[in-house]
Amino acid sequence: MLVETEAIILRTYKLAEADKIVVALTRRAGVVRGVARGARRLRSRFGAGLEPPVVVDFAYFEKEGQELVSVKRAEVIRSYFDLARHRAAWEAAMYMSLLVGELIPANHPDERVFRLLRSCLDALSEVPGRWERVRRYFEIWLLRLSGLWPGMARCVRCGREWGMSEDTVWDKGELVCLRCGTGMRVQPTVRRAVGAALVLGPLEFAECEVPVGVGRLTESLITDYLENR
Amino acid sequence: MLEYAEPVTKLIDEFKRLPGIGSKSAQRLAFHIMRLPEADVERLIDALQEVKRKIRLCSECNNLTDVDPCRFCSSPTRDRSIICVVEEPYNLVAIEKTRSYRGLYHVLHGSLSPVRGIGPEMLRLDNLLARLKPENNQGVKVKEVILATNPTTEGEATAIYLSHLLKPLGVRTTRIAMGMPVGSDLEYVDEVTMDKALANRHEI
Repeated sequence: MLVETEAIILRTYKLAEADKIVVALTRRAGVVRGVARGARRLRSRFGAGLEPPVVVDFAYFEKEGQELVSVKRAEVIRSYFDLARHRAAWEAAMYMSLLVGELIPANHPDERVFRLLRSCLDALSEVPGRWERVRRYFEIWLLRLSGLWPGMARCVRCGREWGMSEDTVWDKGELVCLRCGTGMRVQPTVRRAVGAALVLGPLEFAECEVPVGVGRLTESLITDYLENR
Repeated sequence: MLEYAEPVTKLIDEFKRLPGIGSKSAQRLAFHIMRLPEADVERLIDALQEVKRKIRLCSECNNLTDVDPCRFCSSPTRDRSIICVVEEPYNLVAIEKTRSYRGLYHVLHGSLSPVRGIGPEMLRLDNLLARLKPENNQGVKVKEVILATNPTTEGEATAIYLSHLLKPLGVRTTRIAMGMPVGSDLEYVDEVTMDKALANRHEI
């Protein structure tokens, strides 16, 4: 069956003499993995369409029971090639692409993930020097869309709502009050920054102060998930 | 692989460990080896052992070589004031095929890749910076470094990183052009390639 959809190329690997394995986040079908025959040849029809991260008009054939699809077309809609000129921005873009491949299961369509990655890649190109904040925004939302983000309104153990200036702790993958657990402190400023991420767009969030605790929290959630899956 | 005798299974397993070789190809190669005359097999074994025994990295440019320094670094006819930086030894062969480049080379053995965990410390850069000094380059001052990393985002990021290292040292740093392949058609070129081709245009 031929599938035509918009996609973001997340990653490619060399295959045999002139081919590539492509991992793409598609708008219609979620993460798909496929083979692009001849993609490494000089006059390949794919051109820069498989240089991650890039948004493409993507077409592939899929057969029932086959894990890898056959990539037929990848025409550039929006390229982020020039992000490579700013190493931190490019590393953030590659990290975000890698994280989608790790957190989102294959063939599990969710257009929100596609829109999130696209908007964050756009933001990386538009906010010089504030790449770390875009990355944090992306982590918060991706964790939320993958169902890994913890409840933040109240203590998950005693059910009590937090006071505005109350410290909380991150204990065994749960956000709890100081009476219910011990572990990494999560300041109210971190909770407020997370709250802002959930109502703002990536460009607006990049304008906000983002405490280092946000990064500690997201990284801890991602590490816990990757180590225990 | 239970249906084959143990030595055959062992050979197939070894072939499967090679890059780009799957079960079917490994099986085909193993059966090919079994059909070869004894002398051909001996020759293959000799070639494998010789390459492991004799080939090492050139202490100046990191190219694969059987003599140190390699034939490029020790050649009196090469222009020592130009160094072309490539990612892998086989990239160097592509440039040599043009017969128009007469300078020296430097092989990085990789490119920056956050996804594969390759940072600047994992590239072979130390001896590149050392070679820029005339006392380490047979008294010749390096005038130009050509960055010939691949036209991929990883190659581009590596080139940009190197340019930031080299420019403050007062060396002219250039990047190979990106653009249209010879024999292609404008109709089918993608916007990124066309953009690079326009940016790298030259007067005729």
